Amino acid sequence: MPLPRLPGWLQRVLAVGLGLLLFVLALELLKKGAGGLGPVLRGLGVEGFTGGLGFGWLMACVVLSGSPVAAMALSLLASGTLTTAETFGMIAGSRLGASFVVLVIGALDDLRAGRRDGRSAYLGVAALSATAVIYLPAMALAWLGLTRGVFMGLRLEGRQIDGVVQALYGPLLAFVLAHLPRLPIFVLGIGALLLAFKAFDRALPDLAGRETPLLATGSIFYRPWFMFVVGLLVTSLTLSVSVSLSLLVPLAARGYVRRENVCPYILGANITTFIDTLFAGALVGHPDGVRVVALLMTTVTACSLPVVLLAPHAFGRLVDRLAARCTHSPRALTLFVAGLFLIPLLLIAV
Amino acid sequence: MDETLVYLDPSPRGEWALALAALLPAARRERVCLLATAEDVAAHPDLVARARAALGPAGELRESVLPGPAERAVAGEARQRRFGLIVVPPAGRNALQRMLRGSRVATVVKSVHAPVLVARRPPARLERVLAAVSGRASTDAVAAAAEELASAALVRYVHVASEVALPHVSPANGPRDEGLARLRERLAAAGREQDLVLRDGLVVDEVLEEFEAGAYQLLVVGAQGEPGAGPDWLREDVTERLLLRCPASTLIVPTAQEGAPVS
Repeated sequence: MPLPRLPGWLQRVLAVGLGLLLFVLALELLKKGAGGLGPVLRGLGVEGFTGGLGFGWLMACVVLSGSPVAAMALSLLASGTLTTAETFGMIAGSRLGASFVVLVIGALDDLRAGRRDGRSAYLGVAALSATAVIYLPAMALAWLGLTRGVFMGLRLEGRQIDGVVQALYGPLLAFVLAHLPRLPIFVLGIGALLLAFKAFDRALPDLAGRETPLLATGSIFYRPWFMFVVGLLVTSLTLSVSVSLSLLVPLAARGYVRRENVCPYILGANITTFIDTLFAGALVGHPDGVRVVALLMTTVTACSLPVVLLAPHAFGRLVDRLAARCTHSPRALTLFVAGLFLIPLLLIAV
Repeated sequence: MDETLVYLDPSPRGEWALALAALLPAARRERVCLLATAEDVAAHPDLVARARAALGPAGELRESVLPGPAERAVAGEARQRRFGLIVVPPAGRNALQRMLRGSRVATVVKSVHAPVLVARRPPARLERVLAAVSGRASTDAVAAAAEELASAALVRYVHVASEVALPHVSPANGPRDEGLARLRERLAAAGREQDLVLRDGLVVDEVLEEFEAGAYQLLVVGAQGEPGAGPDWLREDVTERLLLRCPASTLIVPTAQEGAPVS
């Protein structure tokens, strides 16, 4: 007899529950296995703020998402593998490379369809550029705050759930620790983290199948602050910039999102994407974990708000020109992607 | 043909409105209403007489004086009568003043249901007109207004596609642009295919770039949004941004559902 199909809302609740369980397990595995990554990181030359920045950036490009890399950075901080400065750099770097997945999807589709103009990569390039323009001053401000002791007393205690974690995963973690070297444990942790985010994705409604996701109308230019709020809200549900930007695809395909609307949405998404990292910071239990994330979240908000409220069009024009220039030919796009990998490599090397 | 309303501003920008009104096709100058505020008439008693002289030979001229400010006077007059065209100069407010007091021309555009011609640095002769079309419902009204107003001038059209380029979506699957298809057919029938320029990018920037590159003297655009396009507080006012940033005169055409189409 076939099993009855679960209602959609129950499937989503179960997906969120599974995602949370996997997320906590992943952080534990990463913490336990992080010691094994230390020599690898040092061997690669990952050292100091710039090393962390380059490594986080590169990892986000490789795993096609920023959030798991940020969570990894916090686990490495908790295990003592990374310093606070390196963790700060790695989390900031993870945001810089987070939108690479959107560029990859567009570029692959161009290749598949035999198009040579690279226009499908527009969204990815725009997201990467908009993020970089905001994050550079935000990082500088956050670094200043970090060195001046801002948010020093900030605590979000997540250690109370230690007992629950032990009850749930104690035997599994003990078994894994006893039978596997540390580096494979870390790799298992990465896998669990990616699965956790996959489960969160499954909990999201399928916007692609809907006719009217925002308003029952045709093509609209939304006010920048409205798209900023939409970006904030959507990413507070998806927890990932890459997922939020992927959601733009069905919206844009139906004409709900125009070029004018893209930048404020990205800026909003870049803020609430820190929510899961903040949660991870509370869970790993290191005193600087939450502080580093809170500092970045605050300064990114402080740099984004004036842009959205006072100069959204000038900012949009800057990003649009950059994205249009980088996607106007395969050569330009290749140069952009080369830069995307070369800059973090250089940051690691210095 | 409906009456044309010309707002008289005692500042030097007032000359722009009169000079542009003098360039209108003869049919648009058959019946003209000269509107001034009571405050301006009191301060400049010869305001209307100077306007009559500047306007040159016109058909039936009517005067109207209403209490200010200008935007209230224009809206009040437009409520009482039906106008085929309203000519106003900008107030010359800077960004800060616009934040505090609003934009005069934008307020007029929002409060009347008639085409509004915002006069700014008019040329000696109107020779090049650019009409920016959305490709949707307002396209027909914008095209009709541009062709009618610039009867002896070159009229070109620009349509900006600002959709995000996406994987898996071919242009054929994009939003339908029925108005653009009709315009394309009309231009093709007249052997004027080259008069439609298609651009890709941010709408306001691309329209203004085309305007400056083609050395146009008048920009014609539709009023904000298309019928049923959601609440105003959510929508970006592209027309207002074009109106405020365009270096030359701008004609704002209401959509057919908003007001009477330009005959």
